[in-house]
Amino acid sequence: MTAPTTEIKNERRIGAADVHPLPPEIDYSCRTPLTLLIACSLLWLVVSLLFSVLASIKMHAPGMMAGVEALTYGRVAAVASSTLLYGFLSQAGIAIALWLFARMGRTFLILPNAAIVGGILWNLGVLAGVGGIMAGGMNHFPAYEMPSWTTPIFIVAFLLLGLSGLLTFVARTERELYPSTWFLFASFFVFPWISAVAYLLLGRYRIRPVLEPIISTWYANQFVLLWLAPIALAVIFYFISKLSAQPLYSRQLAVFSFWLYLLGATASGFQNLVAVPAWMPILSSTVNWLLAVPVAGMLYNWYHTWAGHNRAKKQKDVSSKYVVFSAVAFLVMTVLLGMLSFRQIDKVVGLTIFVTGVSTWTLYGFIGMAFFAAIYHIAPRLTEIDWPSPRLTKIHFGLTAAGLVLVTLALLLGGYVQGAGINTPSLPFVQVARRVVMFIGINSLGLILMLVGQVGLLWNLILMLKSCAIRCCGAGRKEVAR
Amino acid sequence: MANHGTYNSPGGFKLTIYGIVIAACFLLMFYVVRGMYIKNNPGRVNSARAAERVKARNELREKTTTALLQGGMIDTNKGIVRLPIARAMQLTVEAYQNPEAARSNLVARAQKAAEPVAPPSFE
Repeated sequence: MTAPTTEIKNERRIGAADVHPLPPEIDYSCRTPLTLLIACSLLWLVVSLLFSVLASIKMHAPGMMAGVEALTYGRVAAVASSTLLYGFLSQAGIAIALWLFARMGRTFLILPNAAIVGGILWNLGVLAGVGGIMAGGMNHFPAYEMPSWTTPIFIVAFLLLGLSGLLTFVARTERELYPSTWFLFASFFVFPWISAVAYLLLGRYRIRPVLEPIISTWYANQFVLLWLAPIALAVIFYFISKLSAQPLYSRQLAVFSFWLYLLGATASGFQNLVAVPAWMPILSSTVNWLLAVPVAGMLYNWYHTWAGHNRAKKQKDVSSKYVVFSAVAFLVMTVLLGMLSFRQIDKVVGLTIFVTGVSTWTLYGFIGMAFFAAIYHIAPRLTEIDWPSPRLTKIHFGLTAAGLVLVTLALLLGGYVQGAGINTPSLPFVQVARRVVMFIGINSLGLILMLVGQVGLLWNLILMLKSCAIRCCGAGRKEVAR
Repeated sequence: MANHGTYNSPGGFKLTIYGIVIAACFLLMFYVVRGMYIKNNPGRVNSARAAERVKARNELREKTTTALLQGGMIDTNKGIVRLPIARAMQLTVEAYQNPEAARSNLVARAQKAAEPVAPPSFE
């Protein structure tokens, strides 16, 4: 891969007729904003896992750091969740989406400077939110735990990043839209809309308390299933076709799956709520099973595009195993959501760590793994340098997958044991809690494995950026210092 | 002209218009929800009762503040007046320099206040 020359850059401008930039030129236009977003997102992921480990250890060793107000369990768990959702997943998702918009549209990234400012603002927002939580100003709503005053920062940051993404979409030179673009386009409107609703109804205005769990559950569900998940689906659609060097098996099936997924995901999320009108959990339970149809459609489409084609490239490419893991995780997530929709199962595990296990699997297994696949593919193209340590990439996948499976199994099984205990009236509650401690311990172990894996990925990226800086600017060379 | 299967990128002016429209779409929900809330806000539960109680509390607070801080006539016939609390405390401290005289004075004043009022001379 070679850096585009200055002449090419000067000749090829947006707005000029018949401009069809080459892939390296597109990557070059994305370099600074996307490198910033990806590097910061991985940093936040490490911070998130650090706090997750701390929160998990506190569950079986409650005395640890109990005297430090800022590090009490509630605040630590909220920081872990917020940095994962806003620091890593949202930020990496935006970076990937910007790259996909530019690459699939065969155009330069529009407003790259706005994207840089947006990225800086976004990170300041996460930093302010973490500070706010640790100072005690957190909200008690899932996925909306950062203080409400940080939301306008995210909205303004997204305004800049979203404008860059959607204007890149508008400026595309490729006429045909691939399914990945549909998902990205939809998700880019979802974030500002749901954030505005959450800010106004959960933060700024006082609403009747009975409405709060409904709105906060709606927000958390939309955040995962309609903001983050579509970006992950876009990544899977892109790589399934790209790595197997095949066109998508069925475009019609993709259209059907896309619309049915959007329809279903909108009404999901209320299945475990109590003290709400009965039709809400029933609707969500029904819709969760209805989601099996678009999911089956997508999996069928992916399988027929992927299987048996271009095996050598797929084995060589580091992204392929992440994509496969993510696709399988998507199927497992749908099955788990369906299980939670059965009243008989919900009665046992609905108020236990089982639900945490499902959300952990969704966020890391399905969405996170898809994003890792994209990061492994995009970062070398942005920096024009391969991953410095192939061994670290293998270690990263091994530790992340092993850790994630450990965490999820521990939480799911622990949730079942906890729920069975709670539903046995003769069993003292302390004994139920003691039974779960072993599973929390396994959860801590899994999280530590994942943390080590992410530190490896971050280190690999730092080495890559260092090589890139040396190559681009000569920074760090001894000759320069002399 | 666009080639088959491709577009030409729009120019700067078109992109600006698109940008404005997209930004407006991003902020659409903000204004819709805000408008809906302002128009249909039913207020808090028992808000009328809460307002009534706040009003009564404010009236009571005003009366007690006046009674404590301002002087006034309590009973014209008996010649009983209300002193501001600060002045009353000052007089009490001064009077109790001579405790016996202060106590007898207090008892005399209490008895005077408790006496039935003499009927007016014209009755």
